[in-house]
Amino acid sequence: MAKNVVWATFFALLAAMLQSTLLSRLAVYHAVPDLALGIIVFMAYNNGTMTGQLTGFFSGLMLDFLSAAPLGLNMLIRTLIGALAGLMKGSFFLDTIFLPMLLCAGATGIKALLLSGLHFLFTAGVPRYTLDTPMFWIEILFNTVSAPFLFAFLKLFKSLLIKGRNI
Amino acid sequence: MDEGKKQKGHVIADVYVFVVLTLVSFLILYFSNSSFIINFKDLGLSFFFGFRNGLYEVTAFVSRTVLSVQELAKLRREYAELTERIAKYEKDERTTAEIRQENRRLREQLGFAERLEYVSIAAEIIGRDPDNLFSAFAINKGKQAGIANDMPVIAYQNGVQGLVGKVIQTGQFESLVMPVYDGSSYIPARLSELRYEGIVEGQGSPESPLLMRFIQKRARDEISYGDIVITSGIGGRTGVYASGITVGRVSRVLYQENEISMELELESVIDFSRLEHVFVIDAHQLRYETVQEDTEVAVEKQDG
Repeated sequence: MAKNVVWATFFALLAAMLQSTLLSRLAVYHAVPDLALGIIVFMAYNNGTMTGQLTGFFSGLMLDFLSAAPLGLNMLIRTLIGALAGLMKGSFFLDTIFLPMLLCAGATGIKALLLSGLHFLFTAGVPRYTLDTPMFWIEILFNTVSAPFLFAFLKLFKSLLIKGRNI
Repeated sequence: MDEGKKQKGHVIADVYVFVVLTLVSFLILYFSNSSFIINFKDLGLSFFFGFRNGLYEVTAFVSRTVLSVQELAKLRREYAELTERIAKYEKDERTTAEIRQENRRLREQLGFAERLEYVSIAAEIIGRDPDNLFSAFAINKGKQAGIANDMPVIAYQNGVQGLVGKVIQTGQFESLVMPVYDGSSYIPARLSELRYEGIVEGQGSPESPLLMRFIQKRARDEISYGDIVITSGIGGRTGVYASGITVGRVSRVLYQENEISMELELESVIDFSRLEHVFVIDAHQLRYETVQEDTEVAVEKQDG
């Protein structure tokens, strides 16, 4: 499991770098796909709660270092999302298109909800999505559309990312 | 039976780890919001310095190569523009020298000894914030180049110097800059000509105008569209922004009878979509020079 978490964290770090450099050039309304979130969802759905929450925790830490977000924000949100996605392990057959899209769209929605809750607690210290601006809708669209491709790409590295052969 | 116990053990372990991870991240978030462990975050940024820069270099190289033809045409056009501009500057040079001399004379008469020369560190933007909710961008200079938190960042576009933002986090070789349009950016500013003061706030996106608030209502009849707004430097030597840096131009006047002050919408002088290079102002150096000059004036007075 430790190997899976370390590799997933490395992949999430690479995804965050891509989001920061290459993808930011292609941003629409300043929104880029949250590939790191998709990686956590992939790990959690395939490996279960423990791997999901640990991947969320460590990849969140990496993101907090690279971002202007207060330290702990992404750690907390992604730990919770990893744990929640892990609870769903094996509930449905993981097809190549629809379930990845649904999982990533759901994870983006949960991220927005958690941010709203934390914004309530920390006010200006934690920003939140506003539903009347396009950023949230574009991010959810990007995350949903990119999910099948991301999952297909990650499956190429299943020996590094998935314990056992239950894919 | 054993399988059931094993399963139960897994669930309990999952719950324990979940509680620990959630508590740890919540506590870290709580303390980082109180600026308690900011240095730890700087340490993290330092640790990953090479990755973002490396990736930026690779993508920049590819895009530069692909777009080289277009770049060449653009360079030729810019060269022609610059040649024209140099001719204009040469013409203006004499006038500037005269104005500078007059300015020096007036400063002497007013006893104004502060020298507003910025010591700046050139840097290149290497990435944006990976989190969509934050608008910071990363530059390729850090503590090693002398950059520290809260240093103001400026840029030159179309011959105009404008305020870009301020440094909010510094790693050894990389820093994060919060732009003026960020929702948590507050800049003490004043109208360049009329001298009315206010606070400029960002509204979260470069497309949204900047908002200058708390301006005295009597300024309403004097303000015109296009008036320049500069940093006021309020906060003295401990303030973040040195005075006289152009922030933006007035694009709209917001006046309401029942409010105690009025607001202005400003168009930033910087086009953030084209921003590639910036200059970080070394405020410590600026302060040192000011103090030194103040001391010199004091010594002169004493001698006199």
